[in-house]
Amino acid sequence: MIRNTLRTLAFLIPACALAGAERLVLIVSPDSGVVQLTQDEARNLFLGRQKRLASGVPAQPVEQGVPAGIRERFYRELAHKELSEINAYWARLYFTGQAHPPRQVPSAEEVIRMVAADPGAIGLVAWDKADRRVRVVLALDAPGGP
Amino acid sequence: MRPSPGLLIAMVFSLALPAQEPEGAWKLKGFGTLGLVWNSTSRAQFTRDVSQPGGATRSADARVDTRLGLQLDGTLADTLQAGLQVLGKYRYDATFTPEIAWAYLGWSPVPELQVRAGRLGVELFMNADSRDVGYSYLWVRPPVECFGLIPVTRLDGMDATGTIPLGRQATLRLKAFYGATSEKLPLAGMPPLSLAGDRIGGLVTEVQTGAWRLRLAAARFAIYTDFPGPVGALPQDLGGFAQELGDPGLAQTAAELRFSGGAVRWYSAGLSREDGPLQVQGMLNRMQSDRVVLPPSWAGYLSLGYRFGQVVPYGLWSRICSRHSQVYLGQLPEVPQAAPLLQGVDFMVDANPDTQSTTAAGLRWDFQAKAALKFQLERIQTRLPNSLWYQAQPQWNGQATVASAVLDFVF
Repeated sequence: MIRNTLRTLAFLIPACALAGAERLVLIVSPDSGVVQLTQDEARNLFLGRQKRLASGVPAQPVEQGVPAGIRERFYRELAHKELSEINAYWARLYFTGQAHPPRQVPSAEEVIRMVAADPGAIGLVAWDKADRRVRVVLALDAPGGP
Repeated sequence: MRPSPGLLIAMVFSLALPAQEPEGAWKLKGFGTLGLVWNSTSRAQFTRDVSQPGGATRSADARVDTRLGLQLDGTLADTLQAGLQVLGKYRYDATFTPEIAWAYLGWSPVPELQVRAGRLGVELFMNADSRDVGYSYLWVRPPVECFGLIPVTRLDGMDATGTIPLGRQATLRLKAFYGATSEKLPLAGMPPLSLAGDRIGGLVTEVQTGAWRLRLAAARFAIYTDFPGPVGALPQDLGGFAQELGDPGLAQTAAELRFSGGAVRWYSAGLSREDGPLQVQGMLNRMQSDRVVLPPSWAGYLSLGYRFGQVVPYGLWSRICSRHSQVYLGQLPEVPQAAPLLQGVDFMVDANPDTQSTTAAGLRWDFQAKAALKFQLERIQTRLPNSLWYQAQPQWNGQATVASAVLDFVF
C-alpha cells in the first residue's frame, strides 16, 4: 500500500513540474488596459522595438532574472535566440545609446510587485508564481509540452 | 497565510543576490576586446582601418583589434538621459590614448522619439556605430573592405530618431544626423590628416520584422580641411604650372587634387536575418566623390553563420571595387622643376583604395554569458597600391593570409 502510494507520488511530481512550474507567462497590471498579447508583440516589447503596450501606456518590461533558466527558455521560445545572442543584441543597442535592456529583478515576487504597481510594466515569471495581483496576458508552451 | 515553497526559494535567492539597481541611478558598463593578428606577408601591414599607423606582419600583433570602452549612463529626469563613452584603441599617433567616443544629452518627450545633442556615433551604415563593440557581432572585426576606408565614427552635433510600429509585427526606425567630425588619420612620414571641422549629415531608414532587419542610408560628407604640408600646397603649386603652361586641363587637375571643398556621398543598403540558428547578413555600399584622393567605389559583404549550441561557425566574403583615379598631367612630366610636384600627385593617387576581396572562415564560441572567443582565418587579394594596407611595398604580390584570435567581452 505505502509502496504504491510512493510510486504514484514519484510519478506525479515530475508531471506537475512539467505542466505547471515550468510554464512561463507574461503578466501585466489589471490597470494596464491589456487583456491579451501575441508572441510578436511580446518579442517586440522585450527586445525594445515596441515602446508601448497595445493600450498606449509606455511599456516597462521586467524579467525574473533568477534562476537563469527562465530567461534562457523565454528567449529560446519567443525569439529563437540563445542568451548569448540576446546579450550581443543588447550590447549593440546599449553601447550606441539606442535602448536599454529590460530590467532584471532577482525574484518572481519582485516582478509581481513591480507589475502590480505600474500599469506600463510587463513581467516575465514562472506560471505558478502569478497571482491575483496581476493579469496573465500570454502563456508560453512548456518545453516538450503541447 | 503560510508561505509557499516557491516563495521561500524566491526569498532565499533575493537575499543571496545584491539588491536591484534603483531606477534613475547612474550605470557604468563597458566592453572590450583582446586580440592577436598574424599576417603571412612581411611586405604590407594588415590594419583594421585607415586610422591605424601600423598593423600585423609576420609576428603576432595585438594592436589591431585590442580596445576597451567604458560607458556611463544616467537618467536625469523622466524624459532626459545622458551618456558618456570613453574608448581606448590604437590610433593615428601610435598610442592607445582614450578618447571620448560619445558624450550626449538625450531628450525623449515620448518613448518613440529621441533627440540627442553632443558627441555621437555616426551610423553611416549597418553596425557602423557599434563597430568597436566586438561582442555585438559575429566576426573578429567588421569587413575591412566596407568599414576600413571610412574612419568617420563620431560627430559633434545632433541626431533624432523616431520609432514607428508598422502593424503588429514590424517597426520602422527613422534617424537623421548632422555634425562636425573630429578624427585624425595617420599619413606615413607626414603629420596626421585632421578631419576636424568637416561636416557629415545623413538619413537612416530601418525596418525590423520578427527576424529580418533592412536598413537603407544616405550620407554626405563635406570637406573643409586640407592635407598637411607640401601635399596640401599641391593644388596651388600645380595651378601655378597650369597658368605658366597655359593648360586648362592641368588647372582642372589642380582643382580635383584639393581636399577642401570636396564632397563625399555614401549610399548603403544592409539586410540581416537572425532567427534560430541561422544568421545571414549582407551589405552593399556606394561611395561617390569629386576628389582624386577618394575615387568612387562599390563595396559589399555577405556573411553566413550557423549556431551549434554556443558555437557559431561562419563564412564571410567581402569586396571593394575601386579604381585609382586617372590624373591628367599634360606636359608636366617633361618640366624638370615639377619633379617634386609629381611625387606629391603620386602620393595622392596612391592614397586611394583599389579593388580588394577577402574570403574568411571563422568561429565564435560564447564560452561564458558575457564573453566570446573568436578565431578567424582569411585569404586576402588586393591590387596595389592600396590604402587599406599600411606601408605596402611595391614588390608585394597583393596576396596574404591573415589569422586572428580575439576575446570579446562586456561587463
